[in-house]
Parts: sequence; structure tokens; C-alpha cells
Amino acid sequence: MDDAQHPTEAAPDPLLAVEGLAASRGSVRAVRDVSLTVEAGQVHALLGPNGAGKTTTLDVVLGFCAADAGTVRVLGHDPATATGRRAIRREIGMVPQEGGHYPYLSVRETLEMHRGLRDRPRPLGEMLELAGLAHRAGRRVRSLSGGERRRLDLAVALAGYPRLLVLDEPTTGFDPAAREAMWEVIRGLAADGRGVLLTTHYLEEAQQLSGSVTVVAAGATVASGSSDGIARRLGLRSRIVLELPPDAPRLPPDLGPDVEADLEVAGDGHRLEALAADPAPLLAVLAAWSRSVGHPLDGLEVRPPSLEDSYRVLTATKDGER
Amino acid sequence: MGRILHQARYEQLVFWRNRSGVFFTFVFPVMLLVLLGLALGRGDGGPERLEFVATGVIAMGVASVAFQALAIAVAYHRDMGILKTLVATPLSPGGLVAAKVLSVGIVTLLEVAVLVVVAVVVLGIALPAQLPALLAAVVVGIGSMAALGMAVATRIPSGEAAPALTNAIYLPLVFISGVFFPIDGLPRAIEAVGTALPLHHLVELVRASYLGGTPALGWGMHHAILVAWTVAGIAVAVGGFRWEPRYASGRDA
Repeated sequence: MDDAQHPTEAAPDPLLAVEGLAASRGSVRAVRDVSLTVEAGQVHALLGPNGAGKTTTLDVVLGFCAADAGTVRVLGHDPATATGRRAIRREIGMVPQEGGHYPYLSVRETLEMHRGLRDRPRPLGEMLELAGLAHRAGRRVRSLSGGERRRLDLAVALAGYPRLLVLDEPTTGFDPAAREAMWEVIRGLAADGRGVLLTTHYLEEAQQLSGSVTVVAAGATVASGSSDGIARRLGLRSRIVLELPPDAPRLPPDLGPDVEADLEVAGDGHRLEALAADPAPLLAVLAAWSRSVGHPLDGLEVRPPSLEDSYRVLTATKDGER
Repeated sequence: MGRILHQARYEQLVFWRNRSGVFFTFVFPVMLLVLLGLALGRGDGGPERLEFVATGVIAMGVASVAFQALAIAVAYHRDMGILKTLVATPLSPGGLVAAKVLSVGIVTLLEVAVLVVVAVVVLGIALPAQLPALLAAVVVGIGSMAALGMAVATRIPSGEAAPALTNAIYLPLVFISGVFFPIDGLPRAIEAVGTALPLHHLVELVRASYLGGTPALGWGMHHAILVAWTVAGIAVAVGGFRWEPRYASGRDA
């Protein structure tokens, strides 16, 4: 895949296509220029700091907020029109940032209520299992914990076999085990051909789940593509560390002209630290050295730039502009 | 239509399980009728005074549920994110409102039935003289009060503010609409305001249909005024309704 290009642009008929979106909250222009696409079978993460315009973008997609400019197509429909909204809401599932359910209904009643609103309702037992709420089916919503309510949000979103899921910070308030369980559900939905648009402040979550991400800051898209591709475009480099034991042969101070890296050999020739856009040449040199001296590279660690590294660079730059 | 009926069923469950809401909007008018009945039964004016107040309280019961309970519930449910969650389903925004109004209409009819039973059994008042006319008045009254409830809900900033704001409208409305005493005893300006408001016309219709006779402006005029309030309420509600709390700044869906 060409990472310089948006990974979803070439695919036909995306489930969601947002192009040059601008939208306001009251008199405040919350979104200035956001573009993204979500295809079937894809989890796409929409990332950005608080107030970057993520929720407003989702609200436009769901038809809760009007676009000032740009084009939005959701499942082939325009959410700005009443006809479009009706069509979209038949085939979409939503987990809002603050989901709401009647506190006096039980989990089972809440799910039955939402099943009854769908054209093709998912069986109740399947919804309870997917959300991990089978043991809470008879409990009133008001007595659920925060994490359980979030799971109920997900179960409700899945009530009608949605083709597209819009999840606004779906794992907020989850413990690590619940978060991983939710990830499994989301992966399963994508594997089943559903498209997922996800916002989250957990960058590890985005990296784990999403094949592609869009980073927004100050209401505008600042990067889009795969995590690795974004890092490369930003010129972020992998960090290579080699720690050798004291009895190992010393590393030579100069590893040769083929190595393009900021490199430091310290610790009396037993520790190497390097930053390289492409770590392969350095690793090849180290492997050759290892063979020549007959000592393994047991202490070698290569850490590619993470999504978090990219995110920090992107959002810091944008904040600086504001 | 199927989705509206389905949703109305759950709206019913939600209403009846909220005990404090049931007490203040459903039970309170019944208690008031019993207490006033017991107090007035011994005073001057006797049966006529009792009939006057009882028919006023029946009309008040319609406003209590269809206006007050609906406006408070909508404001709370909006704050809790429930409206947004439901509107994002194939139940259309209009369908959700219809389900809520239908549910409130059912509760209101039940409220009127209970008030009539209490009036007859506990206070010894005769059965309604013109039952179809009473039923028509109540149905039209539900429409106007529910429309105004939705209109007021558009202006309520938060769920917490809802009981205070709706009471600030509902209680003065009750006192200047002829529920407990004839409004021609009020100062002219207040009487004029009371006469313009919908509860007064509902009171007139309920009183005339229950006790027999013809309301002051005639059946058609009182009904027309209530319908006009219904249209005005719907216009305000449609023009300014929010599905999200004000702090979320969501636009109408």
C-alpha cells in the first residue's frame, strides 16, 4: 500500500465518505476541513485532542448537526436531508459519547425496546452475549456500573445488524479486561464486513484496532492514512538499542558509510543507541558484525515510531498554530 | 405506526416506574380533589361549589399529566441522552414525539377516569351529564396541553430546571383559569390573561360537559381556541426542539 496516499481512497463505494467538511456549534466553527472515508470491513479511528471537532464530525454523519460546507455521504445517503437521515438510521449503529437509556427499564427491556425499532432485530441473547451483559439482563439500567452502561450502549448499537457503526469513545471507563473484550467485539464486527468509525483518546486502542486513522486538530484533518505511513511522512524514526554484556566484544565506533542513522556507541563499546528512518541497513550491519565476532545480538531492541509519537507531533504543531 | 405503538408501550413502563413522577403528576390531583371535596362539602355553597371545583380539578388533571409531566420528562430524557439515542434509530423524531404524546394521552385518560370515579364515589357527585362531550374535551385538551408541553420543553435549559420552570407556568395557569373559582372575580388584566390561555377553555368544556349545559363561548369556539393553541405549540416545538442538552449544542435532527 502506498502510505502517502489515503488507504481508503481507491476503494469503491465507501460506507462513509466525508470530504472537506466544515460545521459549527452555535456560533463556533467546530470543524473547518475534515475528510475521511470508512469502507466495509474497516475500523477507522478519528483522533484528536478535546475540542478538535471529532464529536461534531460524528454528529454531522448522524444527521444531528448541519454541515456548513463539504460533502458527506453515509451509506450512499445525505444526512442533511430528512429522507437521507431516515435511510441512514435504518442501517447505522451509534455509541454516543454519553449514551442514554431509561433508568427505570431493565437491560432486557432496554434491548427489547431497541430491537422493536429495527427492521431486522438481532436476537436478544446474541446482543447480551456480544456486550457481556447476560448476567445483568434483569438489572435496572440505573443500577449498572459505568462500564456496564457503556456495554449496554454497544448492545443497543448492534440491535439491527448495522452496516456502519459510529463509536464515540466506546471504551471510556472500562477496565483493561473489559477494554480488550470490547476490542474483540469490534474486530469481529469488522471481520464480518461492518465498517467502524471510532473516536478514542486511547492511542493504543486506535493502533490495536484501526487499519487507518485520521488525526484532526483545531477542526481540520492534519494527517490520514496508516499509522506507519503517517510516521514516515512526518519523518519519525525508529529507535534501535543494543545492550551487550560486559564480556562481549566491543562494537566498533564507526559502523560504516551505509548506515543512515543518528548513532551513538557508548558504555565502552557495549551499548548502541540509534534513530533511523529505515532501520534495515543498520540491522544488516549489526547482523554482519555479530557473525564476524561470533556473538549473538540478544539485547537488540527495535521500536518503530508509534501512533502516539505521530499524534504528539501532529497535535503539538497544530496547537502551536492556534 | 408499529414502531410508535411499540415505543409508547415502553414510555408507559417508564412513566409508571418513576414513582415520584407518578405521585406529583398523577396522584396529586386525585389527593387534591379528595381534600378539597372534604373541605368544601361542609362549607357554604355545598354541592354546587363541590361540583365546580371537582370539574376544575379534572381539567387540571389533564394539564398536570399532558403538559407538566410531558415537559419535565422530555427535558430530563434530553439531558440523559435518551432522546438522541432513540432518534438515531429508525424511529423517526416525529415517531418518538408521537409515542410520548400517545403514552401521555393514555395516562391522562386514566387520570380523568380516576378523578371521575373519586368525584362520584367519594364526593357523591353525579356521573357526567354529557360523556361524549367530556371525552371530546379531554382529547382536545390532551392535544393542546401536550403541544404546549413540547413547546415549553424546547425552552427548558436542563432537566434540573424542568420541575421549577414547568411549575412556574402550571401553578399560575391553574389559579387564573377558573379551576377553583370563577375568573370573573379576578382583576380585569389577570382575567383577560386567564381567558386567553388554553386551560380556561378546557375547564369551561369539562365543566359544561360534566354538569350539563353549554359553555360560555359555545362548544365550537372553545374547541377552536384549544386547537389554535395546539397548532401554536407544535409550531414552537418544531421550530426550536433540541434532541441534545444545551451544553452539547446539538442541532435538531
